Amino acid sequence: MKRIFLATMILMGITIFVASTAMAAMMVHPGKTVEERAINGAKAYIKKHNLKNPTQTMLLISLFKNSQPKYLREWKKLTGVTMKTIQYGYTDIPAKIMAEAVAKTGQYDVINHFPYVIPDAVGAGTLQPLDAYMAKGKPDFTGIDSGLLAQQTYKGKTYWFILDGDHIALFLRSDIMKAAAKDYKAKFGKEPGCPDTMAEWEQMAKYFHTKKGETRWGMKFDQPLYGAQAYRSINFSYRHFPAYMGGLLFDKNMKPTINSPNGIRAIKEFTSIVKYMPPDVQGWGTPQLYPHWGSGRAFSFMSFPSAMGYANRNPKSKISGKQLACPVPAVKGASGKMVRRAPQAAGTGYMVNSHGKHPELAYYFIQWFTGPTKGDEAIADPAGFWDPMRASNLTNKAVLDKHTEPFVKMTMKNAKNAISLLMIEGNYEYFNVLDKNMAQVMQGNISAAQAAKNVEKGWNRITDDIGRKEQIAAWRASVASGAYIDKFAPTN
Amino acid sequence: MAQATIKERKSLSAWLSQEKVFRLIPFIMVEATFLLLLAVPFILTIYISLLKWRANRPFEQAYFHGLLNYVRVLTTEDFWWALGRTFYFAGTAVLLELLFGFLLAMLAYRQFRGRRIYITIFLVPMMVVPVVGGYNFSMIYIDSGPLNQILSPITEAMGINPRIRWLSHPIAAQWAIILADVWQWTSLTFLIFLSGFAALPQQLTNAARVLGANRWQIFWKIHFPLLKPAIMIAVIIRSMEALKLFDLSVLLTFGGPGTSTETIAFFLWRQVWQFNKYSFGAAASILLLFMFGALIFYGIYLLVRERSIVEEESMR
Amino acid sequence: MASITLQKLVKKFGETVTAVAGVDLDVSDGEFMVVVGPSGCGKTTTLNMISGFEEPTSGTMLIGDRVVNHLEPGDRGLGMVFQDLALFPHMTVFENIAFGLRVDKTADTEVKERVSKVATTMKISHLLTKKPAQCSGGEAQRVALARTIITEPQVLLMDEPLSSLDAKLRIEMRTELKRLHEELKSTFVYVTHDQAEAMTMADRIMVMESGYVQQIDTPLGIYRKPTNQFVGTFFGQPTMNIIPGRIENSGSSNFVSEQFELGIAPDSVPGSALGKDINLGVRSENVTIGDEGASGEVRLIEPLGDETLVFFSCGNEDFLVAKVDAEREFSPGDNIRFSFQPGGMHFFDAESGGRLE
Repeated sequence: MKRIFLATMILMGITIFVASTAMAAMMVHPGKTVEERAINGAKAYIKKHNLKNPTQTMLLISLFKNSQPKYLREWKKLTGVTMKTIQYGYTDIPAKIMAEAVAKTGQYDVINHFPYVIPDAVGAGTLQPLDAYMAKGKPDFTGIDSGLLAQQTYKGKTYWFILDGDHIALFLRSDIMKAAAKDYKAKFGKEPGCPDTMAEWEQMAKYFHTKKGETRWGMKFDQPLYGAQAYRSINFSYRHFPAYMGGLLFDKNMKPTINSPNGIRAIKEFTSIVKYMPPDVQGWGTPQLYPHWGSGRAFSFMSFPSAMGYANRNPKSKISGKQLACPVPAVKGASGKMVRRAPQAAGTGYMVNSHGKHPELAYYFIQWFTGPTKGDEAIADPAGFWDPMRASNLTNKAVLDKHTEPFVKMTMKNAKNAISLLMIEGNYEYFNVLDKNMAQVMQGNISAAQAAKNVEKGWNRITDDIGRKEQIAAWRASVASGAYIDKFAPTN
Repeated sequence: MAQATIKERKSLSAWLSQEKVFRLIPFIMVEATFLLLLAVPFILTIYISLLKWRANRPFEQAYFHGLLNYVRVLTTEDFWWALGRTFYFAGTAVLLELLFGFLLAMLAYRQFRGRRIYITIFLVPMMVVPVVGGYNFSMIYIDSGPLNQILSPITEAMGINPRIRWLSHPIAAQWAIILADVWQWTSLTFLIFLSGFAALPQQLTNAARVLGANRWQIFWKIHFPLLKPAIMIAVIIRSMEALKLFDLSVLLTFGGPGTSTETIAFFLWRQVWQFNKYSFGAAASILLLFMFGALIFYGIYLLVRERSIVEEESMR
Repeated sequence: MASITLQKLVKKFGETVTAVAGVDLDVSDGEFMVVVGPSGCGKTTTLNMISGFEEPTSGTMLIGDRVVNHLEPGDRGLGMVFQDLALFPHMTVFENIAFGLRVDKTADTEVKERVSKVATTMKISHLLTKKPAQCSGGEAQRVALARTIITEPQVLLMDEPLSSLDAKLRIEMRTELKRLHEELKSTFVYVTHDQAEAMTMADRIMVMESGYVQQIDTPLGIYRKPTNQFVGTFFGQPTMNIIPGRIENSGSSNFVSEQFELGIAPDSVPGSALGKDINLGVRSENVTIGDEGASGEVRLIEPLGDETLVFFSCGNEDFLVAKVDAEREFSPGDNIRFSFQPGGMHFFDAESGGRLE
């Protein structure tokens, strides 16, 4: 009896397994690769809905206007889907997404933007959850570090596919360090190189800061050499500040952690290095910082990772081949341990508009384009601004050719420390409060302690305005997803 | 009953055909259009200002919130900072525009060779599209740009670093915006004052001359008081515009460095379009409407008072 | 001494427009000189040159024995009343009157004293706190005068100051101005286009036309002996009759026109008028309607009360007018005979319009 029973059970088990595998196989689109499954998914969708000359539209960051069309043409060749683009500067796109939330026109199918637009856009109902399509298309995210990957999800659902390892990094002038190596070692007991801590970076900035006309290390400086440069203007400070915080911005009840010894230390470190930066830095964005870096008037630059490629390839650059790429230095974070945190300062990715006519068809495009093969091809594209993010980039010759091996190695190492910016509703407003107070400190109007108080007060106000309960839930979910690496301290 | 109806109808048509009613019909139509065009958005704004609505939630989830938005606006420090900054910009810019417009008009209202050409040249800035003007100024203000090069003999003589950081130094950036506004809108005050000067009765000047007044006395005792209405008009028109200052602060500095050039219009834009705070923005704009409205009405009251003095005289 | 002397005063605007074509004039101290002429005759331009608002193109101006061509208006020691009065609308009556003292930085107490004195003279003490807009036409007129005379100018210029008043007030103000002139004993130059104003007020009249001086004389002199047809017709109400024709001298003198022939006393005809085309000018009071002379037909009657104007035709549709005693009655259609009084005929050259004597 026992045997028969066992045999029956085994048989049934095999039957169920085979049946479920067959059903699953029926549900998943055929294809060996992510890209093939996306193409077949799109074709099946077109056939099923009997679409003639299907046309979709992508809301595109204008920075990609030269590099994106090539892939859209290819998508059309493969699937017959025409993908048009509407281009805006990246600062204008969030308002377009919100307008779409009210108007529900469905005029964009694919939206190209940074991950931190997700919370507001999801709240407003503009983004399509992708999980159901992912079950059919089976995308593959292996080789992407967890801090980056966590940005794709919000409150447990997936809304965004990443194609940009845009976590900040530090670049130093290797030529100057080489010239100064002996002097530096005499003074500090070690040769200059990637700094281990933010404090060390500031010490290097101070050391290498050189006035116009001076002669040092056998080099004559016809231009000033600023010890450092970094993003310190409104709309940018918030992208770098988490690197100084070295921990979560709120506790598990959404109480800001900035008004604490660690927060005040972070503000002080964040603002004190500014004295070695160009005086205009508070008014500068990328269009000013990149050329300034390329002109050779700064010793170090904490930046988006693309700064290195820019300075190596731009014909006007005076520092081509003279850069050392470093991961973000460590700070003594809230836990008391030294931690490195590399905020994903922007990070291009792709979303699907829930008001579009064929969200599923739009999904197949983003699965195809961000997939391991096509995605790596884009990252290697000389005309593009997609930065390395996948383990496969370390061995991909085209990627290494474009980005250089030392850089790819560094950025992949740095990616282990990559964290999201704040992934909760109203994040722009939180960011702005932080930025404004950092500006006040840098202008010498208020102290770091005062700024910490102001930020705490401002952030609480926003949390109350949006709804503390909802914010706490969203915050806890995003912490749990690993987007910030750090978790709540057990005492909380 | 039927009779009564007929009678009523008759009296209605009779009432409608009355001369006084008939005359009102076009007026009613004008009023209705006016109400539709102005009142509807206005009431809608008030309505939204009473809701709790952020664009990151569907409108269906908005709920009545009383006057809390107004309280929030009035207790937001940045609101007051931006407002104060706006008054500072507008006040300084309008003052300079009045001064320069007045001086230019004083020079140009007499007949001289090439007067028309000068007047046309003076009016050009006003015709430039603000966005284009702002873009041009962003070039002019570059550190190594034309403005600093022109100023360098002066700044160097005064021992100031000739690379004035027009757009990135907190105070210089404020002046950069004020000066760009002055450049663009002095044309308008010039035009207003030019017509004001042209309308000055020559006989009054002659009367004062014959009584022994010198040029200075004629200007201060006769011309200046008579130009007060023109000055008031210029102040009101320019203040109304200047208080809405937005383009320059977006195009030149995007509110920065820090918040040093964030005007109230920019603050509102940010609250609504960056932070999605629609109902907060509605409440703030209603409050601003009343604040600016009170100011402008006070200005118009002053203007009417000045005007009536002059007009009564000319009617006699 | 505040006489005014103008010597060959010329004003041109641009190349082509000659507003004043050479004025010679002597106004003696304390004289009331009226400059009269139709609009555009150059009288206001002349006044503006005296006051200093216009610079003469050529010629010399003296006030007293001072050449004033290049002096500022305020330095010429004159006062002026403007056509539209030009009161300062934003100042009170007091401040208007005080203006001339204020610009001289006169002490406050003195200003008050002098303003109240002149206000009493001009009977406007009750208006001092008002604005000009609150004054009636006559009151404003007095304010303007007060403002002008407070600085005690030796010369007073007036540019049609009464033109904005109604008829009755205008006649009142004429008397007022005459009285003021006698009180102040300063020199008045008064510009008007109204011949009646000129006649009633002036010590002497300068008549201008097209920029040229036509005649300078006393009112009666101008009325009785107009120097040309223009002056003759400009003065007098109704307008002097003008009849084109010739003087035929065949034993006795005969005036022959297209319409009629009329015998006239030979000794009243100047020799130069004989045998050429002339315009005969006769004022209405010098036309006699009686039993002899040429015949005509009454067409229109205009009773003036004490006298009556009789318009009659004679040969064609050009009416002639006679002024007769109100007691004599005529009616349209009456056939009448008329003649001209020997002393009342003016002979003008038909071509130049000049007086023939």
